[in-house]
Amino acid sequence: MKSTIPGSTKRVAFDDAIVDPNPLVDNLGNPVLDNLNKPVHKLKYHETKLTEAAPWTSNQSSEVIEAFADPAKVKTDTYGNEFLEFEIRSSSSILDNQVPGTILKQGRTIRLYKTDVYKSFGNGQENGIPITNNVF
Amino acid sequence: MYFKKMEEEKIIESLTSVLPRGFEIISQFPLLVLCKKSDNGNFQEIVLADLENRKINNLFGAIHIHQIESLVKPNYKPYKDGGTIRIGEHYKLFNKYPARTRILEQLPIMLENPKDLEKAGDLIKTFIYEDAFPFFEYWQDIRDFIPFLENDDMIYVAWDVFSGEAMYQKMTVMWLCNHPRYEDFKEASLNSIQSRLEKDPENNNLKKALNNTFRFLKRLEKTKPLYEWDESFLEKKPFKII
Repeated sequence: MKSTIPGSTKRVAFDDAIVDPNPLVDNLGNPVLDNLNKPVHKLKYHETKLTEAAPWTSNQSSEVIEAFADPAKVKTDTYGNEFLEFEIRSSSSILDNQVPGTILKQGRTIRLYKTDVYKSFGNGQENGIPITNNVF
Repeated sequence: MYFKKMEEEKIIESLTSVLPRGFEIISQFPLLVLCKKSDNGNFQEIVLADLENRKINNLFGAIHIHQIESLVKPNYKPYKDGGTIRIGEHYKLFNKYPARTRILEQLPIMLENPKDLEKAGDLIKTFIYEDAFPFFEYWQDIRDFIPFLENDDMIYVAWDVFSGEAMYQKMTVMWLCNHPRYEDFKEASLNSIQSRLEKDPENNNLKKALNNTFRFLKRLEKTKPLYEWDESFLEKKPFKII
């Protein structure tokens, strides 16, 4: 799934992303809406790397990892949790083809909380069980 | 390379041979997409296969209602733009899945040998005649959308119906049908954006969204409505399964 931070020209490919099919709600139980009154969905982002020290790709780094440190990009919800919002750029047909029956469509907004970024790495261990850590 | 190309041509020829007349290929990579323009100007779109990975992962379709899409997005293109309604939304609205389960059970199909192509052809036929045609048949006219857009909460946009910019699509249907609550919906939608902008006045994306909405409304309201409002528009047309 390719996505961009609105206003940015760089696309991030979320290879392993889990999106909650139920739209996000605020503290009053009302759906959270994007700029054009569409529902916003929550995303968990998981990246698998070979080793703990393996670098992020350039766009993963600038649009996700560094973006969480950029006050112009990072936002805070009513509970004080920090998040980034992305607009889905993959075409609706591609999304439908990859995941039959998906609720995701081009132009939808997805929200990634700082606590929902994970990185797994194997470090070449013999038992092959990867270690998954929160990035932040 | 030449051999590979021939093979692709064979796959395309075989998969499209089972389609009824009028469907033309509008995209081959990464997805094999076909489209038919019907007499009323609407586009019927069918996505058959993922040729890049040589497999069929899903069979689905969309309909582009010209009267809506040409106002929402002048120069819209079938396949490139999401369409007015997709078959996935249609299944959910009626909670009826005529051939869906049977089809999904047999997917994905890897397209590697003539036997796969034969199996795929049968599945495509099932999809076209049992699922896609009744779906295309149902959504012919902008009035068909009205019963699905009614809600007391005026901010509610039929996200579950429309596949693209649902707010603009709902405004278009209401305007063209002279819906008595068009102004209420327009006002509620604009208020929703404006109130967020008041809380976050430096947000350029919100400013852009608001300007785009004004531009869209100007275009929309220059167009003459197509129908006089009638209460009968509120009645849901029955969905017939073949």
